[in-house]
Amino acid sequence: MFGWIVQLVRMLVPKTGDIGSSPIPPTMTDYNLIINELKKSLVHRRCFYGETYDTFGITVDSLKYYLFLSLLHQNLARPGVSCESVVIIADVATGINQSSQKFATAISQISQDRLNYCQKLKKYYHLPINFVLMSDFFTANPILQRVESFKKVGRHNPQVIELLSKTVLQNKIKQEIESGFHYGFEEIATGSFFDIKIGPPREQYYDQAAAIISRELRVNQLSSIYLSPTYPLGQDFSYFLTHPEIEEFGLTPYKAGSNQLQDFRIIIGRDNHLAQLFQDTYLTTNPTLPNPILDLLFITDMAQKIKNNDPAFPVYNADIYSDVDSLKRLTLEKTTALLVELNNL
Amino acid sequence: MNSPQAIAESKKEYQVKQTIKTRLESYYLDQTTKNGLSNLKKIKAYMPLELQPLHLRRNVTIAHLDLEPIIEKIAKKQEFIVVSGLNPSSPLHLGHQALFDLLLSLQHLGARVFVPLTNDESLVDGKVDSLAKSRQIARESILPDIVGFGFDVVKTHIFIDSEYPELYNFAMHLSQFVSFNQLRQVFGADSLLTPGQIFYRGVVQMAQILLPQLPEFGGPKATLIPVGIDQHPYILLARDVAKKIGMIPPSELVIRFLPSLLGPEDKMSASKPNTAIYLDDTSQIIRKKISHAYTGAVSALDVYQDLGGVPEICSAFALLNFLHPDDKFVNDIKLRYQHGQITMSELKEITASFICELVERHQLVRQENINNLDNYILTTPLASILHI
Repeated sequence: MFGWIVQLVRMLVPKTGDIGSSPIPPTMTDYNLIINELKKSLVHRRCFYGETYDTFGITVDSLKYYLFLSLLHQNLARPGVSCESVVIIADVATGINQSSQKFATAISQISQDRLNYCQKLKKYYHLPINFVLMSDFFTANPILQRVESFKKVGRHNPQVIELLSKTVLQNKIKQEIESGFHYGFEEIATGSFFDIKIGPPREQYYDQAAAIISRELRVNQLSSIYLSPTYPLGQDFSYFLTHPEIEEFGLTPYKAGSNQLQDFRIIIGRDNHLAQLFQDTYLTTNPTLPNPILDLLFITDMAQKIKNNDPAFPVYNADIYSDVDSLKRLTLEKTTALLVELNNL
Repeated sequence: MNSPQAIAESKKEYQVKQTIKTRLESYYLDQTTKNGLSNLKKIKAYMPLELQPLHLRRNVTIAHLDLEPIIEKIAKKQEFIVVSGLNPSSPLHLGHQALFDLLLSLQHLGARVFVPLTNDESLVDGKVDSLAKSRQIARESILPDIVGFGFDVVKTHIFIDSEYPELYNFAMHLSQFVSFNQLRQVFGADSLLTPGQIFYRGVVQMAQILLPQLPEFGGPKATLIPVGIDQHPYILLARDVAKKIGMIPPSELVIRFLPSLLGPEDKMSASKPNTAIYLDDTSQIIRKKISHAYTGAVSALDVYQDLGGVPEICSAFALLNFLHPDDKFVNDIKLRYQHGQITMSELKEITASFICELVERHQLVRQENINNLDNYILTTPLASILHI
């Protein structure tokens, strides 16, 4: 089980990091180590995952985070210990990113549709997590004051600004600078109301910035868990050589149109031409290289675990990588079945 | 049974050979780092093994610059360009075979191959005393040998520089984009002593590299130049000029030299017969040359069997490593060599038999195509140059 928990694995289990050499995959014992580490250090266990969205629909990659958060919650929750897990659907943040009123209206409708669908997911899978709109979260919590405090400290800290700059696409950096990195400060201020965050690897820059400011303001500091990057399907063997930034950080999991690759993602409720996508997806047997098919298998297996009320994280033998065709066949079957469920909610 | 002194000397000899191996590897690593080149680890990790040329699989190629666009073309089965020039001042040897084997592999992966025969370079550098002489060598010796490697006539374009004056028109056009200071930095003042050298090195070489991207050949296209480690500055210059004229900067693939028969720290040289096996050598000569080849085994057999050998510096093994198509066969020999389980006479016999057969086959193909040579010659007029 290589790389499904990236950040904490780096803390607990050294990765060899060399192309072609096998990393030490996390085992069930390592997951237990991670859970125990979190339990040891945290009194309150407020977990969250936040996502914006676009107009293309809900990706199956968002489910990776919903389901992982659910399993994490099940492992952390104990009688007498406060544990709360939230998915924040960032309608406010998504709106910041676009300027037209027409878009703003569409986004508002999309956010409501998304929330409604997530509630159906929660009901069907009996998820122990809550879904909430960012706008509602802002109403219920003193976020705006926290944002201002964070801005006061962070704006004058070159390290914070450099970190926030790394979270922004180059073609958006001017816009972000002009806004004073409002989106970034809002994001990290929101995180300061929680203890544990899960997210894609690029979140590390937000979290590093948050850590600097939180220390200075003496507010809560996050523990972060970064899941494996989301990779596009249907790519040939040259793709990650010519797109090294996607190899490192993946796509934005919750935005189907990330890098205009919506045709190479799995979106709930549409015909994804799964068989063709899988066929066109080049996989190596090298476990250190991107494997979007194994990512999908992980998602389907988490869904199954949750349906079966089994709180254990899915684990796999190292030989899962060795037979590419078998892996594709198995995952296609499971993903097809999962999508039937998801489409019929 | 060897005397204690002989054993001690052999052990010392083994250390010396290990040191040579380390020195060679360090040299290539240092040059790669110094020149800002990338190693090929990642490319090899992603590229399916069945598509990797032998040179990639066996680390005959050692570094690259911007090879990714070429890999993308291969993945998408789209055409790309390969340019590799040859100075036709003397007969071809197995070092050229190794290079042209790489070009052939790349052609099988989709490359259109351009081979400038730089007879003008031979003249300006004093390797021949007339253009006519260099043209004669190119026509009668080099061109048939190149064709003898088995290139696809439709996707291979060879030109003798002085017989393709269009090239010089393009070179004149490029002269606007290169400064003398740049040339001095790249080539050094000692290589720019005559107007001919300045013109050749400054712009004719650029014209050779960038010509395949002219409209007559389909316009800008991903281009790959296989080079030795010392030719990196040429590529930087070509990339700079390409950007200025709206062409795609060429990619670079660095290839090790096939070592001299006399030792690993020199390359095979056409001007030093004992260092090289020529493509027109007879079997008798080939066997004799290989019998004297430098090896990575120590003199005392029992010490060799105990410590093993150093195939990485062995001139005989290099011939197999660079040229034999069977990975398993080569790897088996390498392992046996490292464990002292193959004698040098056995190794040299295997190598000699293989090379004799290789050269014989080459001579056959060469002869079969002797009347077909003109079909490989590039004569395309470059009208676009006159309208830039």
